[in-house]
Amino acid sequence: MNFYNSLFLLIMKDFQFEFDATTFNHIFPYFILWDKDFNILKYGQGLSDCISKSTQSNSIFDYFTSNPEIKKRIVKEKVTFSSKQTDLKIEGQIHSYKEDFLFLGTPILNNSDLGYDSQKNQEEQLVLLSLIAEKNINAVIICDSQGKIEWVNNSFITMSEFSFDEVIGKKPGEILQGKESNKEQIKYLSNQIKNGLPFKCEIINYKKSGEKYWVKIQGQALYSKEGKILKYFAIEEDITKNITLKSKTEELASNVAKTNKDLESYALIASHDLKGPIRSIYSLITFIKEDNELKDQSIEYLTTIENKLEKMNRQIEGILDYAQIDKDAFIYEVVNCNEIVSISIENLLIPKNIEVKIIQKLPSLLIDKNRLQQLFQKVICNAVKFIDKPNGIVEIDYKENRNSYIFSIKDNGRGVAKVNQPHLFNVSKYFNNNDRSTGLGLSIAKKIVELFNGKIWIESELGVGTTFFIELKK
Amino acid sequence: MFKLLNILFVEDDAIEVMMFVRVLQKIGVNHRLMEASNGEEALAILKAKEFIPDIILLDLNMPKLNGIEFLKIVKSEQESRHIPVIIFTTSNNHRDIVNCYKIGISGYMIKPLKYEDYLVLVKKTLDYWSSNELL
Repeated sequence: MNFYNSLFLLIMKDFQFEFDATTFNHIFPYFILWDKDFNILKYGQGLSDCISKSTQSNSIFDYFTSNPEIKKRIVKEKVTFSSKQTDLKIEGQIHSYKEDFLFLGTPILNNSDLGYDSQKNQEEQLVLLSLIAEKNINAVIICDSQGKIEWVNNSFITMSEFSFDEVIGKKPGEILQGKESNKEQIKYLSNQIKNGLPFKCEIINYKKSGEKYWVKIQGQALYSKEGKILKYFAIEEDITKNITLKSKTEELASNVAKTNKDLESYALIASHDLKGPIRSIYSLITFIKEDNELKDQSIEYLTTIENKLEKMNRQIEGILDYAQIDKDAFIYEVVNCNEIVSISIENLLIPKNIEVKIIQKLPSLLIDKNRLQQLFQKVICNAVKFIDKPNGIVEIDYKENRNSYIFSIKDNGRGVAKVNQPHLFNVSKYFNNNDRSTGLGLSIAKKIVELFNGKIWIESELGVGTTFFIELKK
Repeated sequence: MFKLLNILFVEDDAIEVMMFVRVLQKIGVNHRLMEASNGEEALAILKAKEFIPDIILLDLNMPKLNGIEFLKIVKSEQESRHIPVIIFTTSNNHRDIVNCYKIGISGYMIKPLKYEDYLVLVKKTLDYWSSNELL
């Protein structure tokens, strides 16, 4: 496919282009536009002899000898149209244009077999192409072999606010690029251009007034038959709106992230500051008990106060644990899950009637060790806590998938009612009446799993037991 | 050999001080106690050199000069650098621990909620340093 056609396709397909018959007539007197039913929609003035308006019909086949290729709608192949009414033969290519078909051709002279390319000088073709480009909504720039501007279309003038005379003879980069234009992109462009390679990028340009705007540039060099660079050709699309939208969205996202961090910091500080007073109250109660002979009931009251204080303390520690989980501080290393589970079992005070066992040797993961420890401990703790049977069993197992492992922690405990299951991992609710719970254990587990990009869920039957599933990437 | 300690206790909360004094009484060993309610007071005591502490027990949450700042100063002064500093705090924040460790501490104790547990913890700490020949 010759360069002429490739440029044409560049304009028509990659960027917005509105078909303009007047323009076309200047350049392609021999063009035909027809729809999928072969009805002629428009044609060039060079064909006005062939296509008589007096006939009723509009079909191509009324004016041109039936050519099997036309029927096949082969695009990008050389085809010949022979007029039924005159001697005219036109040779050219069919292009698809939106839902229609466009044929661009040149008349074959009777005394020569010369083809398309030699009919028109390539430079001429280029200038003519520019005329099409004139109508283009995007900016079109043509430079000479030195990279200096030879021609720009009206859209360029509107976009950049420079006049035609102000840009002729100058290099586009010199007048359009400025302070905030990305230096790497500038280097990329001049490198591609220097080596005659096609270029494509997004970059900041500056209007004459100094106002900046974002463009998507696409272009290439035009070569002569001998391989010398003749011209440079580029199309620029104004994408300022898209970029602004993208950066607004990013700004919004980072604001949200910052607010979240602020809230977590606040939770940390507030919780921490509560610990002191709780300690003080607890100790003072101890002193009161120690220093005085009290009635049994008073001692009972004081003990109740102590219990409440312990609960508050656990709650605060839960909040602190939750708020302190910081993904940025994760340290990834190879961790043996069997060790993690063993440590969890050691750390938890497991009653004698409950057995925690590992069904098969667990795999190793590349993960943050402390957080994984915290995760398993929270879940195993939960499993153990709700065992209501005389002989409790907690079974830990895993299944291997292509990209992940699914760990299961199965207990024969109380189970969770279907009604409560969806809310199990939520921060604000906890359903049991057990005074020893802070309610945050599973929420912490969930937060950690999600920071690991994994999943956690349960299957449970009331009265029978619960199985926790944790899926983690390999 | 068991020796009596000069303890510099840096803590702003009056009740915490009371608790510590009570613990000392309970233990029954006559360690000598000097109280400072904030970092600046503590620094002044160190400078005055009338009371030379064997160990410094430090709380991290204090107004004005906070615990970490005080620790940095103590560790940078030639004359106080060698004194073992033991942090007593309610914070189990990993970052706090790491920061203190980097500056240089001789112990990091997390104050338990229950008074009985606190008493045991303090007793162990003081017994350890009393028996320590380093002092």
